[in-house]
Amino acid sequence: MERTLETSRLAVASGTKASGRRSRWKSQFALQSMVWPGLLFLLVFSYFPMYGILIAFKKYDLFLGIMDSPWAGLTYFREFVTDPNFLNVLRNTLAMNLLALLLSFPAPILFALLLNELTAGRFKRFVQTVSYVPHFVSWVIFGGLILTVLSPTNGVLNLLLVKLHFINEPINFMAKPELFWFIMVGAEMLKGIGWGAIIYIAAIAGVDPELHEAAKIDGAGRFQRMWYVTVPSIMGTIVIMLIFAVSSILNTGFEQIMVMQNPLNLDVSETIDTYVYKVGLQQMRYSYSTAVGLAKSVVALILLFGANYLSRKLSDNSLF
Amino acid sequence: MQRSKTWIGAATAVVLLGGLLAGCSSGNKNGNNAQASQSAAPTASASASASASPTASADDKSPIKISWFVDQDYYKKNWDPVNNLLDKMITDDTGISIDFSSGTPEKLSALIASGDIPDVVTVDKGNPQRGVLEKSGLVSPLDELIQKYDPSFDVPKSMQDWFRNADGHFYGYASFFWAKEKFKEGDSIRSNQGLYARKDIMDQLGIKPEDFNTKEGMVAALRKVKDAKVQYNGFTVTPAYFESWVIGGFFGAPREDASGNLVDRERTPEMLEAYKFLNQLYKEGLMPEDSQTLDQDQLKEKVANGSVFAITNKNLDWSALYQKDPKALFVHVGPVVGDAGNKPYVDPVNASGWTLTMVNAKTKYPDRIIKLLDYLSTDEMSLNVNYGPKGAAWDFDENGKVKLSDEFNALNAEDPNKAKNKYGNGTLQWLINWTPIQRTAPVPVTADAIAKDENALFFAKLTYDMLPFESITPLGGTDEGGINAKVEENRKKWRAKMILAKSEADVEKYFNDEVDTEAKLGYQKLYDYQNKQFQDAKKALGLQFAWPANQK
Repeated sequence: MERTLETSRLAVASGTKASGRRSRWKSQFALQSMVWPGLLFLLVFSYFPMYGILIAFKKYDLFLGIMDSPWAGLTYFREFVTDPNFLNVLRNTLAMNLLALLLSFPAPILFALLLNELTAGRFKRFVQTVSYVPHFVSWVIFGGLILTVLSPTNGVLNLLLVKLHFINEPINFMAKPELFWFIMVGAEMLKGIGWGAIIYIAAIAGVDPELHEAAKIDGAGRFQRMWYVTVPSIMGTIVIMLIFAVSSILNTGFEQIMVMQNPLNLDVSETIDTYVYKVGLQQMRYSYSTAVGLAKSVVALILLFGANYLSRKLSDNSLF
Repeated sequence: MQRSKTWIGAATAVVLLGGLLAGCSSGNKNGNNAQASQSAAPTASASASASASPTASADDKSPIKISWFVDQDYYKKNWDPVNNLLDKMITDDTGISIDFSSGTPEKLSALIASGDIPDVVTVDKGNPQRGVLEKSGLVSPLDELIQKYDPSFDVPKSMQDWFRNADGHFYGYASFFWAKEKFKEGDSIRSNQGLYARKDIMDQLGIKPEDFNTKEGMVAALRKVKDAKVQYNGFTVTPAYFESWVIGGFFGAPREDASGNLVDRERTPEMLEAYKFLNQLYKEGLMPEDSQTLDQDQLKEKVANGSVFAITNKNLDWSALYQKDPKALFVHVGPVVGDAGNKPYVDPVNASGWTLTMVNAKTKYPDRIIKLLDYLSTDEMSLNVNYGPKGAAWDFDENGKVKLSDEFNALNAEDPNKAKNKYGNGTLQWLINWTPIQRTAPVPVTADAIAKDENALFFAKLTYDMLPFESITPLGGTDEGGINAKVEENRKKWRAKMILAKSEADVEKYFNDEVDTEAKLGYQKLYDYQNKQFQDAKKALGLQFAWPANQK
């Protein structure tokens, strides 16, 4: 395989020197052919289905099909935007995501940095493995665990707080709307911290040790090396992850919210995703659901380009 | 060598491509099916008749296998005619083995969209998928199938009428349908609502069932429980977990006005009174905050642990508690009456049943399936699917009541799941009729069973004929369906707010706010639709008024 790659690399050079793409394409045939399945996959599963977006503008009838359903124009977009719950739902979605951006975005970075400073290899691996585990537990179970821990009647947290005399009466955490966003973001952080750290750990592993050695000789302490060597070295990764996070600001996890929702916190827990599930999908109102999904995607696309542009201007790091 | 490696690479790519394409081709096939089903729709009955082999004899019992989808996610059944006596009985009697699958309503939507549904489909009658199926042409009209293959299949007329579509056909057989014309002396529709309290605690504190007849008496009784700090099983007993709609029913919230129009109970003064009352209970610490956050399973656990004094939902089954402590019985109390002194009502279980079972228009065995439905819906089979096969699991005693066999009781006491696997009791209720089961119910022996029987009879007297009100749920996929979902979602929120409000003035404010919000959600359109459905239903049933207070 190594030899093939080498020869084809040679072929690339000679191909460009000779004339034109054709011969280059010919000489790269084996390599190029590896891209096709990926391209085709994208085409078939991402681009081709996009024609289904049409139903956002139609009064979709399952039995008339996409093409023959009557046009509805922007009816469903209007329905969503003029819904009395729209602002509330948007606020909750944005609030939870901004909070997550503030709290749970930096958490895996910090975790990766701290983990990197551990010297005992065995302990490090152990901690890392343990931190992954919640990622593999489904939200229904994880959410159930959180609810149990927070339960006012026999939850561990309340028992602890009462026994330590921090509080006199158990607190019904899930009935306090003002706490919901924090509980939600906290739970997501707890579940995702280990998994999210993987990419940063990989980036840190790629930092040139010579930089650290040079910094050491210059008399930098551990924290200084962390701050002046490791962090700038992985800045590219951080920025890219941040761009992704910004572009998905209208998405909230779906299962976790459904699990933790109750009538008392509905005012702060209903997000775009859960609301559209309830009044759209569950009612087989596919046009409405698609319209909202499309609107979300467009906003996400704008945010992605915006964040990318800003980061290119400010830090020279960008996706494209 | 190099050349061959290049080609190996290319060949791998081609294979991968091929794999992808194979994936799409099956997808396309589904698409074609959907189209085919569209074109097949108008001729569904024609193809049904064509596929019926003319040589099939009246009681063809050759072994066949049919597929059957149930849109209840929890439902699982593996057909096992070797070990399971119920399955064996059905396969022996009909020659049919059933391959059950199940899933959420969304999964059924996907099946419908693919145009390829199983031979038999069971769908909750209230789910949006039902209306879609009936209009899709994917299922055969049952009346046509019956006429063609099994004219002796006696579907109650009220069921046919109730589920008849605008095209004059009905498409599904309903489970748990209460057909009035089949009622015999002593039959009645029961309710899952009521008002129940723990007898042991009442005796201990000197509370009498009549105390619950008035709001003041009820509050006083609940206060006694709270002040005595009753301990049970290590838990402090919570006085009450009540549901607002049941209390509203006790206060007599009407569903029809004097001129025969539909009334939305949620907006009546009686309902406001109920919210104020529950709010009072909350403020006095008689009904806890978590009454609004716990789900049914969590409440059930609390009741089973013995830490609840009074409830309004019969489905929070207390059998587990009684088994541990024979004194811990829930008995009927009250019911509480409102300030206006209206006659109290409880909603009966839905007279129009639970699920509808439909037959695929393209099935290979329409004749065999319709006979299977006929077979499964008989009175005796209702008993068999509920208890397990007659002879093995039960038999009639000298009074014509069901008596469970000793073997069944022994196995059921040892492990209910083992009993289910062997006798199949309660595992195939999709065509069940509850009337014959209620009629022949075993004579209650245990104190718990006797109390439950008394409770059921007591609240059955407070029911009304709910049938005309059962058609007001809008169909899925419609604008009204969307509004209804939004309104329902909104009500959950306001209910909790009203019950947990800081003051009575707040309750009233929220009550009015709710009306305003709903107006913005398009409530008027929903109401107009519901009222029209209601008037149509009354017309079909030959009624001028549906609410008992209006009926002369």
